[in-house]
Amino acid sequence: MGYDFELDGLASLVHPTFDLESTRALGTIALSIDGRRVEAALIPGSQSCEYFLDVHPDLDGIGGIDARGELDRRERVFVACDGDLVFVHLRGRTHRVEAINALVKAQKDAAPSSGDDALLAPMPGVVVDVAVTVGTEVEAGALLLTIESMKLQTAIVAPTAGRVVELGLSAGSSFEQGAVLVRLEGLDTEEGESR
Amino acid sequence: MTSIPGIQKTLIANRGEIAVRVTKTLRKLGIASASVVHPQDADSPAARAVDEPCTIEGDTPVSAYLDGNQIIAIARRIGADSLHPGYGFLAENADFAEAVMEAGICWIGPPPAAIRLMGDKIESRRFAAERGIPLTPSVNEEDDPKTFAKRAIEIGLPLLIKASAGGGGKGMQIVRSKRELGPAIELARSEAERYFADGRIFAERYLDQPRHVEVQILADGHGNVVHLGERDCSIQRRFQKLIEETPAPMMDDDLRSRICSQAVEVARAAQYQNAGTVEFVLAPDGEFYFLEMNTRLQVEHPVTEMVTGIDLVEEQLRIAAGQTLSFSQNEVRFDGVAIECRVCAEDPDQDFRPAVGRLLLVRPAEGEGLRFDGGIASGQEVSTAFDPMLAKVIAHGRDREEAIRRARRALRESVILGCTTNAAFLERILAHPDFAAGKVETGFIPAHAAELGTFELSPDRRTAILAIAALSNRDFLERVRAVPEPYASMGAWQN
Repeated sequence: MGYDFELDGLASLVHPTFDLESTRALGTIALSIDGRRVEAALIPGSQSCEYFLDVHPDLDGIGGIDARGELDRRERVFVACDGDLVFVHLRGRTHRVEAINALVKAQKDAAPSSGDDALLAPMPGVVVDVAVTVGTEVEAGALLLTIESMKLQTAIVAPTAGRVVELGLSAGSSFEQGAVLVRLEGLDTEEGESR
Repeated sequence: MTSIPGIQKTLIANRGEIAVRVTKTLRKLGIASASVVHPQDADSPAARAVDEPCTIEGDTPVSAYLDGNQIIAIARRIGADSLHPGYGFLAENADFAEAVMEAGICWIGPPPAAIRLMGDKIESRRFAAERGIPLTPSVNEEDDPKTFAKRAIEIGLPLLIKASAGGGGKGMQIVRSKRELGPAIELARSEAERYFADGRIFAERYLDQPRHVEVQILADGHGNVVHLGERDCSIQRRFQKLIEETPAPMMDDDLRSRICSQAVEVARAAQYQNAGTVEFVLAPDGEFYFLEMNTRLQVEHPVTEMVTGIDLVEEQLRIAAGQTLSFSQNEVRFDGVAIECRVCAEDPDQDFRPAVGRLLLVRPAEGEGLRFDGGIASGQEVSTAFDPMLAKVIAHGRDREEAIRRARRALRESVILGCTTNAAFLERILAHPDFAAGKVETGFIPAHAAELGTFELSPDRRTAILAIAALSNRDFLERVRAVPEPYASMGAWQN
C-alpha cells in the first residue's frame, strides 16, 4: 500500500518494498519513491527534532556507484510532524511535506455528505479478515477489517464512533478501488479523532 | 538598587521579540521587569522573560495591546515607575505618552510634542520645509481638494500617494500613469481611513530606484544630540523592510556625514529627546530628501548596536531618567558591518502571503558575530492576529563580505519548523551578486523576482526529503510494522 506525499506542489508515491529483511532490524526501511528504490534510516540525534538521515540508493539496480549523487551519505536533519504535515530542515532549507493518506483521500473524494461514513477501498485488493458485523457499535479507531493490497496488509479502522450499517464483503472477497468496504452511521457522541 | 536612579520597575507595553529584547536590558541593569500579556500570548517567551507578566484583556489581542487606560491601570497597580512602549502599538501615540506622564510614570520615549509633530506626515514635512531641509516635491490634498489631482500631476510622474497619518507602507500607492491617479487616490484614502481613522492624503514625487537610508539619533534632555550612523533599509517588499544594514553600502564618507548631520539638525530643531530615527530617500544621483522621523526604537536597531557597541534600550532608560548622554559624537566608534534579516511567517512564492501554523521547533543558529532576536518558542501558534515577523537574524562581520557570509550561515542554520517562513528567500537575496555588490534599492525584490524565485529540487534531494517524510509519518510506519512476517520476508525472494 503506497502513500502519497506532496512536496512543492507535486505528489510522489512512496511505499515500503520489504526486500531487505535483514536490515529491518537495524531500523533501515527499503522504500520505493516514485519507482526509485532506496534504503533509508532516520537515527535520532541528541537534540529535540534532530536526526541523522542515512539514505542509500539501491545499488543492485542500474547505475551502480554513479547513481549515488547526493545520496549515500549520513547527514543531520531536523524533522517535526503536525498531523499529516512533515517539516524537514535539510541542508539549510526547510521543506513542508504533506502526507496524503490514500485511504482518507479516497474517502474524501467520495465524500458522502449524508452523515454516513463510507470507508472506500484505496486500491484494489482482497479482504483478509472482518472484525465486525452489521449492527456492531464501534469506537473511533476500532478495527473494522483487514485488507491486503500490493502485498501489504492494512487495518481499516473506524474514523469516528459509529454503528456498522453496511458490510458487503467477507474474508477472501476481492474488491476494486473505490468500493465501499464498510459503512458507518454516526452516533450522537463526540467525534473521534482518527489520527 | 538599580544602576539608573529613579527606575526600579519598568512595565513593557508590548509583546513578542521587542518585549524580550527590552527585558534583557532591564535585567542587565537590575531593573524589575513587567509586561502586559494577552491570554493568547500566555505561553510566549515574552511572557516568560519578565519578572511580572500582567494579563491584559481585549475583544481582540491587538485591541488589548492598544488599550492605554488598561495598561496605565496595570502600571499603577503593580507599582511600575516607568513604561517602555517598544515599537508599534502605542509607541507613537502622543496622547498615551501624555497620560503615562500624568499618571506619574516615567515615559521611556520622546516628549509627546515631538511625537505629535513627527507623527503627522504633512506637519512634519511642513516643519522640515520651513527649516530648509530637502524634501521631495509634494502637494497636500487638504490645501485645495478640488485641484489635488491636477497639482499632483504637475509634480511629475511617477508619484506616490500616501496617508498623512501613515506608516508601515499602509495607505501607499504608486502612480505611473495619469490613468492610475484617480483609483490610487481613492484606494489610498480608504486605506488611510481604515488603518489610521484619518483620510488625509498627499502626493509625493516617486524617485526611481531610490534607496531608503535612515539615521539613528540619541538626544538627551540637556541639549545633546548625537547620531549613531546610518542604516540602509532598501530591501523591502510591500514598502516594508526585510533586510537592513549599517553602514550603508556604496556610500562615500562625504555623503554619509552630510546625511547624518542633516538628521541631527532635524532632531535638534524638533527638540527631540530619547532614541529616534530620521528617514531619507536617497536618489541614484546622490541627492537625498527627508522622508519622516520615527519617534521610537526601530525594529532594525540591533545592527546599530552591533557596530557601535551601544545598548540603545539602556540609553533610552538613562535619557528618560534625566541623565546626560555619557559620550559625545566623537566618542562613538563604528566597528565593521552588521546586517539584519527579518524572518517572517509568509510564503515568498505566494506573493508573501502570511503563513500560519503551530511552531514545532525553534532553534536559533549560534556562533561568532550572530544575534537572534526572537519572541517565539516551540508550541506557539502563529496566527494572523499580529505582524508576521517571527524573529530577526542579525550578523556582524569585520567587513560586509563577512557579515553577509555569517548572515547566510545563520539563515541556513536557524531551524523553524511548523510554519512556512521566508528564510530561504532572504538567503537568496543575500546571495544575489547585485546585493553583494551593494547595488540595493527599494525595487530590488521586484526587479530580481526571477532570480530570487525558488529553484527546483534535484531528484536526489527530493528523494531524501520524501524518505524523511515517510520515515517520520506515524501512519506510514505503523503500516510498515504491521506487516506480518511472512510478507516481509517473502519480499526478499521476489526481488
